[in-house]
Amino acid sequence: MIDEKTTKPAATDSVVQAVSQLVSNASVETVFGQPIERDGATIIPCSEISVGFGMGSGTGPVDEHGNPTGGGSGGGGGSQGRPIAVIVMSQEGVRIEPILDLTKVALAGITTGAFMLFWIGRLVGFSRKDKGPSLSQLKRVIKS
Amino acid sequence: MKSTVREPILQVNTSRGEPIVTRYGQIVPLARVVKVRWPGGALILNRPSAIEVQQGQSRRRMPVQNATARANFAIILTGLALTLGLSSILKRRRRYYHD
Repeated sequence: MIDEKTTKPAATDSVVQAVSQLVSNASVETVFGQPIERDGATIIPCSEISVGFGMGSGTGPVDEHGNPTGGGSGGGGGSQGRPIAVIVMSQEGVRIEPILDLTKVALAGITTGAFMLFWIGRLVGFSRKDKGPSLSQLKRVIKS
Repeated sequence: MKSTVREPILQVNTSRGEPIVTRYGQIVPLARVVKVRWPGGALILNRPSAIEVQQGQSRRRMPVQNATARANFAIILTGLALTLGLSSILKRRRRYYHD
């Protein structure tokens, strides 16, 4: 006889804990690069890093001997790193030069512009419906 | 009985790195780690927050700013504000013509 018992998920929690510990332990060394000497100045690159992952597992029903009849597990993850600034140390002092990602900014601008056009277009369409026919519609009527 | 200590869902930590010594002075890097955990997964955001500069006797803190994130935020906020403003103007005009 097979019982419908739910078994505890596998030790995914400890794996998650271990990976997150690994990432946060190396936090400062990961985001600040090694100093580079160039043209009489010391340059230290700074970058932001994001890591995400998820996993899950499950087992099928348990038979009369207590053995699970089937099971499976899966997981996935990804990471991303991007330089955000450069620390320049020279005779003049220390300054932080930000790095602007123009592609990201352009994408945000295009998305926002498209959103604005969509909403304003919808509103203009509504107001046109309330006011009556548009100029092109009137021309078409006059021609016919 | 085994006792388990559960980590909180959201954790924000600021960690201090080893001082970097150059001939122009010494800096101490500071990084901020934002950890979001859920059963079976986690999201970890790690970014430099500031540097502490020590030159001679003076010590100052300089924040490391994310110019791209700021620019994106400004663009999105301006877009939303313009959309809201224009939509309210158009609605008011429509109401005026209707009356």
